[in-house]
Amino acid sequence: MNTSLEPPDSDRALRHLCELARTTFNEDLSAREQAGWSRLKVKAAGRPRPRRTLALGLGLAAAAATVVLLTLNGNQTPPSLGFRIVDEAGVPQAAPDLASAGRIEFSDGSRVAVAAEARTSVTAINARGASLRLEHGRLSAQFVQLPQASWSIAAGPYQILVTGTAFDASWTPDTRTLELWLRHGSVLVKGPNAGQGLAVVAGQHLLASATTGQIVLDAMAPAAPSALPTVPTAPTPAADLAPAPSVPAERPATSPRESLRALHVAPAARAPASEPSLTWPQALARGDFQRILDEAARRGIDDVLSGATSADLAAFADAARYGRQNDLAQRALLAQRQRFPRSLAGRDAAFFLGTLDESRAGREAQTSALHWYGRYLAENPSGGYSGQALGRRLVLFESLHDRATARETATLYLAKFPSGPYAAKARRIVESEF
Amino acid sequence: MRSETDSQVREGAKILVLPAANLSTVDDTGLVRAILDGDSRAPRVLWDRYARLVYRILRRSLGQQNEVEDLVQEVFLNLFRKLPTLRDPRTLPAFLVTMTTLTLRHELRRRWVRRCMLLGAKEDIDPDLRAVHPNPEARQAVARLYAILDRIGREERVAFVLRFIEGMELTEVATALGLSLATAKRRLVHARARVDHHIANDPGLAAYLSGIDEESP
Repeated sequence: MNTSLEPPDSDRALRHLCELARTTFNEDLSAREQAGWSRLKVKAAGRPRPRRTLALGLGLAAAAATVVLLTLNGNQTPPSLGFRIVDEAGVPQAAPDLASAGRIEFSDGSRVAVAAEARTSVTAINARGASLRLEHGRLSAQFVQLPQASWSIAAGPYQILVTGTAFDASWTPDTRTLELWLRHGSVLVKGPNAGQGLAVVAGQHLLASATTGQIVLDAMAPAAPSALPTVPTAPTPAADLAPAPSVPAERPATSPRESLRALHVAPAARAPASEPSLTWPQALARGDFQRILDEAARRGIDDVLSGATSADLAAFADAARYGRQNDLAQRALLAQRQRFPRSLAGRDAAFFLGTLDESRAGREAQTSALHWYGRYLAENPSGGYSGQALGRRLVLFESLHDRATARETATLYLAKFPSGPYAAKARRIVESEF
Repeated sequence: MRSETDSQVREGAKILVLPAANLSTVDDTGLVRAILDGDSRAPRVLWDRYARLVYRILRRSLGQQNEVEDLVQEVFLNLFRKLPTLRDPRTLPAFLVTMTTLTLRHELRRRWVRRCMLLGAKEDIDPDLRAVHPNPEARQAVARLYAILDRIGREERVAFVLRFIEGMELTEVATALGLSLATAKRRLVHARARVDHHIANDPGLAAYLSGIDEESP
């Protein structure tokens, strides 16, 4: 880098000055600077969002001014779907009342009922379906299954990709939690920690937290959700969506408003407080984790661990995990393995013990997690969690800088789960150089 | 994913829990993906991982230990806004350095305009340097170096700092500044020549440098 014009000792002088500058201006952060993240968050929140060119800004929350027929494609064929907003009784609304429930009716017969106080909007629409954004609250959707139908609902960082199906969904911005109850068909949920997408099928319930990254997929409780209180079955698609006479709506047995208000109540709270003799697996399926933990405390934890059935022990362990009582969950899982070592729950317990270890920090916890995932795989080579266990092992080996074993595990993972959620990472590890 | 998940649910295990990934241990690719997926924990992890780097580059470029916080925040705000355009998440550090240099060049331009409007008024030496360099001569030498950097072009200054103070490779400098390797090399040659010239013609620095030995500082 020297030039011929340099004085003979310029290298030394420059080196010295640059070294002085390096030691002077370092990367030590003051207490205020370390707290800079909090200020950045505030700034980021206050920064206006870039304008969306395609966003139609329609919907109950956006207070669409008129009932409109939307065609984004102009003269192109096939024509875009249309939609209109109606109140609970099916009367078209020019200026929707945010405090009341309402419904979006699409020209193909699809319906989306929106609970009172909820906010949703149609952000794009075409001939095959529409994109909606659920900003807050709960909706109940029923999409007509047509060839190449394409519907999606965005809720926070999650996206629900729909073909033809019926489901309820709720989004709570405060806790950044998505909840989904699948009544018919299937959807694919994309978002934090969901890899390439998580399939949710009829009869399943999904609870996903963008704050913790945790996703719980379980069986939908028989009583939940309140199915379609405001989505009447359309006898024929609403072909003409120009301002029209009121659309006949099938009234539910109870008042629609009453039913919609009930939608705001959390599933766990929907069960009557004095509901008699729910089994623990039933309580777990309803999301009433606290009931299980309270009952266990009343009966005595040691008695539960030594006397409960395998199913109750599994439900207790799950309730403790969801309640973030990891020590209790660990004891329950260890008891499960000790008392019912050959049962499915006993073998699965090894996997969950691994996840509990992973929730703790430090090398020792990671090593212990590796041990439990290894045990699970040894006992259940084709078990339901074998993909997850193998995937977590390759992540952990890489994290522990055991490149050779990470590579070996990644190769094994790719052989067994070439399109699994850890496949991309496994490929990167296999292809990377030592 | 689809078939695996289905089988997990159908084989009798009623509940599937995907444990929250420990983002602090994921690589940059995973971190970028988490941010783009909307994982609310991820931006904080990125901040924790790279804030010091941004602070350091800005401090060394501007010659200020303090008062760079707003610029750091601007860098990260721009980064989060532009992240969806990042094609290869593995290049996140280089992308971040590029965002930093963009903010830096804008700030240098702003300071140049301010100096012009104030008819050549210079900013005072950062008083906090006293804590770092109790030796007043060393402190003065640092101040003189940055006075020299004020006199060379903004683009040359940034290139000089990245290469000679920050210690980046030539290719990294070129990437950060969006230049071809040849152009980056030319710019550095010019910058180096100008800095050397000013050092040689600065009597105060000459006196100080004549007193140093090979092992210092």
